Amino acid sequence: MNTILFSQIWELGMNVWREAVRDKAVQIIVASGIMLMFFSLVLGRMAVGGEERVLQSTGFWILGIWGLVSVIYMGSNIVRREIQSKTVYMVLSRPVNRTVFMFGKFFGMLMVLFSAFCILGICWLILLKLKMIPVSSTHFWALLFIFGEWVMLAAFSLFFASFTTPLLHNFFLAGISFLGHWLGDLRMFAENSRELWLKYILRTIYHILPNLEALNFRADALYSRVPEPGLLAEGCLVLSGWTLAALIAANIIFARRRLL
Amino acid sequence: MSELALEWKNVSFAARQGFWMKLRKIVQDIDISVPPGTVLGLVGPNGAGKTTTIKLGAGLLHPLSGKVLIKGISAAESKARKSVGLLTENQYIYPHLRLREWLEMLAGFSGIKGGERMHRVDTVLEAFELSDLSQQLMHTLSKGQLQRAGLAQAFVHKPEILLLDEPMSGLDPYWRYRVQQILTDFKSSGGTILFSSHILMDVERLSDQIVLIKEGRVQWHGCPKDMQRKIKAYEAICRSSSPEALKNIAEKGSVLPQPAGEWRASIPENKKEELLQMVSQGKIDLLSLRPIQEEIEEILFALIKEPKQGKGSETK
Repeated sequence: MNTILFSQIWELGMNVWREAVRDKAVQIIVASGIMLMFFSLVLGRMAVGGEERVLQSTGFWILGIWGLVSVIYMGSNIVRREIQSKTVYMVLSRPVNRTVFMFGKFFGMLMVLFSAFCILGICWLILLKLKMIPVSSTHFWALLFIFGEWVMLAAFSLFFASFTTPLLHNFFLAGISFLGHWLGDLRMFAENSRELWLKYILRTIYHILPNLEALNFRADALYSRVPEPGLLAEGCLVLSGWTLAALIAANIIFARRRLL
Repeated sequence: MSELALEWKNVSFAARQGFWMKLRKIVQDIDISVPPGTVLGLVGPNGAGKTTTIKLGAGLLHPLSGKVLIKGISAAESKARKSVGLLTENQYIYPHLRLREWLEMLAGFSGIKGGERMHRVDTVLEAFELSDLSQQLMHTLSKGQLQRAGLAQAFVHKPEILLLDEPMSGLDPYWRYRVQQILTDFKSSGGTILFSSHILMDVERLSDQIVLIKEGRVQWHGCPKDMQRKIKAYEAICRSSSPEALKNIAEKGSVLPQPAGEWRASIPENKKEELLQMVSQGKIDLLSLRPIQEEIEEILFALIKEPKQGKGSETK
């Protein structure tokens, strides 16, 4: 039975993959990322005496934002389109249960995101090589956790896609991504706030949203600092915990969803 | 095999509709049993609940009350659906997939892998004459080709049970005939079929049992032979030098000349005795007399108009 489950997840994932590689919008997203990366060469020349840092920072920024854009584009319709066009009937009339359906979709998103990440990441590394900027293991930690952020966003995307409209999905996902990186500032603001109600609200937001800064090792890469093992472990914990929680929640909601 | 292939046990289903999300019952207290190796035809007017009944059978919808069983296992369980092939009323396709990719994917969902999968896909592509279209993107296929593709996917994993919603829809007369043959062969090999159709001739030709659904309830359930067909009139072929006597008893305008001095006429049932008297008196030579019975459409339309009748015959 397990081999059937893996083959079902593989087939569902391959379907998402095929759809993405034949979709012009996905091709445009990746191509625009590559173009912007090469445009950062121009930005680097405009900076006075900091070309290396500009190139690296822009590369990290593009990788971060393009992940969000790709997840928003793919995830907003990943469940809704299946239900609206009723293609989900063809899948669920086979011995495929709803949990497998969701995991297959997630696996497919990961395959597409991994390919896009590899293309953009390799382009960036080539760019650094061309400009003779040394690449160390700290860069790979930063890249690894940027991809980890893409994975977590994909899990959240599936969670929102299981019950909301594309518009709300995009709003929530962008909200999580931006607030997730500002949680440190938010907490500081909460501590300094004199209004008690605002303090509580900001603290609640701090505790219920994933701290994406725990996955941010970009500054370490820029200054060639080896990340502390404790921080890496915290990053892994945040990443795996939130990804798992979002996937379980997405499954529970989709399993209860009534089809017509 | 003693257990039933398909069973709807007192099944009701409702959906929330409208601004106030009111619960509207779509099917109510449906009781249908399909023994293995038989064909059940589901008929009824539009919106009667035929498609919902089929979706319940395929485990796509969960009943509000009652049970739907596939070979004794709840249709909601994924393992129960391993033996089922479903054809939906419209073909729900992924426009970015090629026909072959679509069939391979669906076969993969049923656990068919590797060489076996390639072989099964080739077999159904050939059976439904789709081999030339196998590399075509699905959104470029015509309605009839899509319907054949839908049938191909229902057969690709060698199911024991077929649930077919309007299998003849969009097919030309040749393919209607071919699909009838394919379904008859499937039944002969021990397969079970439940299908809905508006083409009542097909239902009569293929079905061992017929279920008439009206307003979400089973209005009538029985075998085609249980349908008592009234004789509406007789078709008489006579030879006579003068057809005047025949015209007096035949339905108005129904006496038509045939080659070699023969006449064909439609004789009302109550005039049959008069016709036979004319024959015995030597006024006409009767060459053949054939009863014209009610068509299945007329019987079923009459049943639809009637209040709930129950079962035509016990089929369990």
